[in-house]
Amino acid sequence: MVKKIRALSTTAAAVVAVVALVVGLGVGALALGGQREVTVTRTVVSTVTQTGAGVTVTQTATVTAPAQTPFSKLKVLLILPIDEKDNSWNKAAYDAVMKLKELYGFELSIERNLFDGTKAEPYAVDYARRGYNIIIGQGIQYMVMFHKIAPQFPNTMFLCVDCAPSLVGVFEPGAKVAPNVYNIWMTLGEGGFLMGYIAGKVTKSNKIGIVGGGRVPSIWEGHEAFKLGVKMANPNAEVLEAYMPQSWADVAGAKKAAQSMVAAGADVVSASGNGIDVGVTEAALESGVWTSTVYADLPTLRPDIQKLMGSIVFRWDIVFDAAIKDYIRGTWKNGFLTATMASGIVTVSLGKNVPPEVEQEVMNLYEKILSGTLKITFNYGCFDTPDKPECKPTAAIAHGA
Amino acid sequence: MNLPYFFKFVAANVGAVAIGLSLGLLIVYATGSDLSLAATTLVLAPISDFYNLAEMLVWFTPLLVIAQGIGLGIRAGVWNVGAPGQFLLGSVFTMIVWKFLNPYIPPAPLVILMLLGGAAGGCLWALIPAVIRARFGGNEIVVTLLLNLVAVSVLWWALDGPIRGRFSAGYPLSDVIPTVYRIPTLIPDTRLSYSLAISLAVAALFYVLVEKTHFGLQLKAVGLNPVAAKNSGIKVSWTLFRALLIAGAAAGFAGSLHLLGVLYRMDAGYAETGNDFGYIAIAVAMLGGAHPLGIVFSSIFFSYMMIGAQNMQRMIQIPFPLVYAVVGCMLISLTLVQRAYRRSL
Repeated sequence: MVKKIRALSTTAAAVVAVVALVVGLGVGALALGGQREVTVTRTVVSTVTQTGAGVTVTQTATVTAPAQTPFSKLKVLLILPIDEKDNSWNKAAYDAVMKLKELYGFELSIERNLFDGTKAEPYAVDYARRGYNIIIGQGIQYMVMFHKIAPQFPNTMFLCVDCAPSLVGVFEPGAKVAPNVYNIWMTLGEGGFLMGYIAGKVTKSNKIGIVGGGRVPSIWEGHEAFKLGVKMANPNAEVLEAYMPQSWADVAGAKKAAQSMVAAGADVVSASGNGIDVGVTEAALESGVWTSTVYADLPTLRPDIQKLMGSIVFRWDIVFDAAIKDYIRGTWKNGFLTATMASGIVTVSLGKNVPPEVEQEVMNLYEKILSGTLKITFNYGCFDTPDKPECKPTAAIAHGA
Repeated sequence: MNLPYFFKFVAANVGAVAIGLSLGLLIVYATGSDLSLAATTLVLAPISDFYNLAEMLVWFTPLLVIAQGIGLGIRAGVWNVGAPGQFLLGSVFTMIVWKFLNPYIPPAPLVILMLLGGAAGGCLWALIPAVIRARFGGNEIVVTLLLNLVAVSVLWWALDGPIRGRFSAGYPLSDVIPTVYRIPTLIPDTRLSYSLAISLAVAALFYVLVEKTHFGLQLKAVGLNPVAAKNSGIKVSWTLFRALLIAGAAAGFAGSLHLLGVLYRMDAGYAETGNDFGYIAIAVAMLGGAHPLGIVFSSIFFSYMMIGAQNMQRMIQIPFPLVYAVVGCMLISLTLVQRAYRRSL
């Protein structure tokens, strides 16, 4: 009898524990549910009443927006390495697809925190099998995976950002380039040049720091052009440079690097993208020095940051839009685009506290870049041998400044 | 075998799964999702589609191998919570063996060496807790658990050092293992490879080891009553030591299988892969009653659940942590029901 009661009480305890747990989790889930995005088909009802000549005509039209178009039938997946809260690489892509979704009304899914291509592969395959037409991979880490799975889905467009067909064989010797991967390359040189110019103007200590992720060609271009901008604005300024080879998401490492630059006397610390931005921005805020970021429009997103030179903003919506239109037209196979300032994809957003005379100078330079009178080229031989004398202080060359 | 007991046990587990599943779906419902779509996807997606079925077996393979090792430990009364770390070390060793020996040894024998290297890596990582447990009587759960964190650092160091790829674009990436060194794919256009067959062979090996050998008998004796085992002349520490090493080797071998059969390359996210398999394998071993055959079935069940849950997450676009909430609900109800059922016997 005692044994039975004990058994019963154990079961009762178990049930109570489970119920308590479910209530707790349910409340948590409800809280989460409040943040979810909900797709709503807007129904606009407009009633027009005309009164004239003693006759009243009432017209009622019901419009369901968005209308059925080839664009609205698309299904689009965006694969993000981290999530849109980074105010940088991921945020820029997120905003771009949200904007296009608003415009075209296509079906959109977003998968976050898939930092590695190997991790993202089953996701990309699953969506492609479910008839998703456009699969966007925001980063070069998805390139090998896209080219591997793309041949199975000839009618799906795999949009690979920061990728180039010529790099596929470098990443995986012997790998084939699939025609249905749409590659987008980008240049950070022009924006880096303008940021460097501002840095050279606002510095008081004549020491400027720049922290980047991996030393890849695009980031390297950005850094070299940054140094060129500094040199043009202020020949006496010295640039302290650091790359974070461990990871693009190395927030703590980037923060530490920026802090050591501040300790060495720098009063500007710039960042070149991804999680690096988060660490450098934090360090700059804590030490009260100037900073700048890449990809998302930080001056708009964080108006509270006082000493913000600005951001190199990437308008991925223009690129994605072009690719989507190519897809609809059927001219998308082997697509390849390069994001530059002249194409309007790369722009610069300046912070509110940049001195007006500096802003004027930067805008003049920006216009020169847009009109093609100012060109920035690179001595690519310096990528492998940065210590050669002709690569100091910078491998970037300005034409027509 | 006591059949009524067996059927009751199965019935209790099935009941527990049903309760857990309903609770999990209740949480999904609370987020405002389409419940019927969620439930059908969760239950039907893994079996309704060839690719998903293959993905399920991709999960099944490492879970089975790791859980066999953990189950063997449980039989002896030691808990190897360090499978994630051993999985990582096994993979790192596999990569190192490939990287440094591929100019000298032809592919076929090298693949065998790579697999053995994986087992050796896991074994070495388990050596630390094994020595601490057997020699000094330290708590193996704490040591194995904490070594998982160390293993992640080792992985990052290795990705930036010995196994870093020639061109990794600033990402911590290894080279891709060329086709000749991979375990061949079983079904074209899926990630399922012949490592499935190898994992089943490993399970058979564990069955023989635990159920049919003298060592297996010693293990079970130590697990049931260490004092009695010691008095009957069994070297308890030595048995525990070997049990932990075998568990580590199994986890390392699973890492090797996953690397050579599915991923072919290592990156920073590999740590997450190790965690996914290593921790769930503990639950797999528990659900399978730590019996080599039971573990086969519980591995099928868990891989089924994981693929179902992943499909559900993609289908109804719920935040991914909710998937773990669903699986977690099931685990809690399983544990509670099993416990209540055993007490009532």
